[in-house]
Amino acid sequence: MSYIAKLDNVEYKVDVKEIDTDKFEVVIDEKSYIVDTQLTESSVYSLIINGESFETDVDSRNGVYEIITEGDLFKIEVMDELKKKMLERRGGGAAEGKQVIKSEMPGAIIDVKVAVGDEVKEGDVLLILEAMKMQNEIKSPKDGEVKEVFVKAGENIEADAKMVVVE
Amino acid sequence: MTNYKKFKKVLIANRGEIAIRIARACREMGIKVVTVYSDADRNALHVRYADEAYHIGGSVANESYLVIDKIIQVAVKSGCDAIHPGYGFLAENSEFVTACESNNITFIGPNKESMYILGDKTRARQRMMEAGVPVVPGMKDPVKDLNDALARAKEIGYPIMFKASAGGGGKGMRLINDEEEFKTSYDLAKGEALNAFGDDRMYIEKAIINPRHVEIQIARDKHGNAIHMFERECSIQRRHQKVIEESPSMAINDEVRHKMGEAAIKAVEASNYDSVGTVEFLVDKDMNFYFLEVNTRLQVEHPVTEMVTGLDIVKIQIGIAEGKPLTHRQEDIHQVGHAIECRIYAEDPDKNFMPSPGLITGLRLPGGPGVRVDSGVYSRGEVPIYYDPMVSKLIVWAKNRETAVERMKRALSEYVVKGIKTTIPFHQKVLRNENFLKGNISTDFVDKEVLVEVQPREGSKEVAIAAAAIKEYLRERELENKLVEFTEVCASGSAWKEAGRKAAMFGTNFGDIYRYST
Repeated sequence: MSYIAKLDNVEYKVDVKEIDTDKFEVVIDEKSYIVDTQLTESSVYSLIINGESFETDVDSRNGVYEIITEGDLFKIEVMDELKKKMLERRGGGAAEGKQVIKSEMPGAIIDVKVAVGDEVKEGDVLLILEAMKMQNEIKSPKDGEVKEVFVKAGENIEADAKMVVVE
Repeated sequence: MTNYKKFKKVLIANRGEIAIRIARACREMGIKVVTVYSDADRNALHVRYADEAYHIGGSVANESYLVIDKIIQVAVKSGCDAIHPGYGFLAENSEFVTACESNNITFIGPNKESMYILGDKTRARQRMMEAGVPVVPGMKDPVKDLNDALARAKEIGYPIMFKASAGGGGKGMRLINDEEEFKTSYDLAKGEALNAFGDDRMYIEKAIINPRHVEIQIARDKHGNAIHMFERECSIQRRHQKVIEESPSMAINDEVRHKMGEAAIKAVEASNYDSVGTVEFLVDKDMNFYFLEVNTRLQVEHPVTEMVTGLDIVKIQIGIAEGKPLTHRQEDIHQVGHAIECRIYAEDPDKNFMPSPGLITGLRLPGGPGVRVDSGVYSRGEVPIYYDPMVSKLIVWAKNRETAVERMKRALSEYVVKGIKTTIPFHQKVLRNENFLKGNISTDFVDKEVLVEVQPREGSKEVAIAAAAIKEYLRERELENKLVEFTEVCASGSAWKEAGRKAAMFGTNFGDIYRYST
């Protein structure tokens, strides 16, 4: 399989070929690596690359791989040609149109500063979310009108819960 | 010889790593351990470790770990001689001490009067000035309102520190650089203080620029014998929360070290203190030291001192509470080698240290020579959203600072926590920093240096890319297999509903299949 891997906004051409059970040839920008892969504990992989042993922790979040090796985090997007073209056509949309503000972590709503119909500016505090004794201000990503408020003070919410819609 | 009690059963009014730490000391001393737990903590390690465990209420600390009556009730019912409060929660609450006393239970900590005097920063500061211990300029009574606060800040001059009177541990405490900033953070800081301590009184003091935070561990028994166990350097802080501590400190020499030790003892003697405790100082670049506050409790970072002195501070604390005289004299106590502690928080360092509670799906602890882990979590254990995000402390000892740093790096690289994000990668970055290695640090080192600059990675880019590409390859192959099964389901003439149910069962969704089939 041929992929494009994107790390820190640099694209790398990557080819992966399975040459034996758990054994792969990975070509990164024309340089070949023979990789022996073992899943050792939940998402920790032991890789032996040309004789050298590495440990990598492999997670994925929103379609981006988060690889930790030697304590360093690498966020890598792996795409095939088709997906890359699709993404290019769609273009990068900044904070435009309807914005649904979701919680990035579970926590308790301490205070909701806005109501439906309020005009807000980018950076205005919408609500205060507390998790693990820290209070975090959740700010509006754009200028606009508050269309919906899904939460109220005192409520506990899960990660990824809808909180406010600004349009 | 004086009469003293011998505790048979102790209640630990806390949770997490510190509850385990105290339980370990009790176990070695032949004392039975009773713990208490909230709804969220039924499966917590401190419950499993205890001899007896009792449910005391809801997950929010206000309904459980902070409810004095419930805790006392359990202690009385289960026949405890004493209560150890740990740190945080009720550790510095004099009402709790009163409640213990009136139920004939020993509070493992200082007497009420000295806690009252030293626990309040305003009162403590007054005592220190009387005892001749140098203090930071500007500390006064709690501010009345925003206008009062702004006026006082103007008088002292920015930058200032805005601190909770009942505070400690970096909560509700902020560095404020100008009036605008003060206006915007005033309510937030008070809100945090109210939530953390149930008390939103705040005061202002002058911020000393590039200070180092150096503290002295002391112990004083009920017979007036006092010792100090040297210093801990706690300058590596993030948002005024200590993250790395070490002993000895590079900021002071032996002469200042002894002067600070003597000042610390003088400070606690002034209030007839009778427990272990910590006297915190700010040290400027000329080795002038200023009294900051006394922590009338066991500190998070006490293991650093244990590693360099070979003493067990929790056992000393329990012994003092039993009424025993200290068994060590000052001249018996030596600071040997170098110890470092890294606090491991359930926070995502790549997302501005956002809390990262959740299920720990995998855990591998470091080990080997000179490594100690004080932890409150386990594999398949849950880190709840309700409490402090610190889940574990990693402590190393070696013969000097250089080898201790190398050992800490090694131990961090062995430490794997899966399922939640932790600050382990952040610690790696600090330990690689040139200025940290040289000892050029101050309390704003992390915010100014480590977090601002992009730190070079040590991990190999190629390894990471290879891992991601192989994972993607394996994922697609798995999807392909699922697609085959899915196609079979559809071909057998089943309705869409049936297909949907099957797809759900396979743990995939139409989107994935669609993506793959086009």
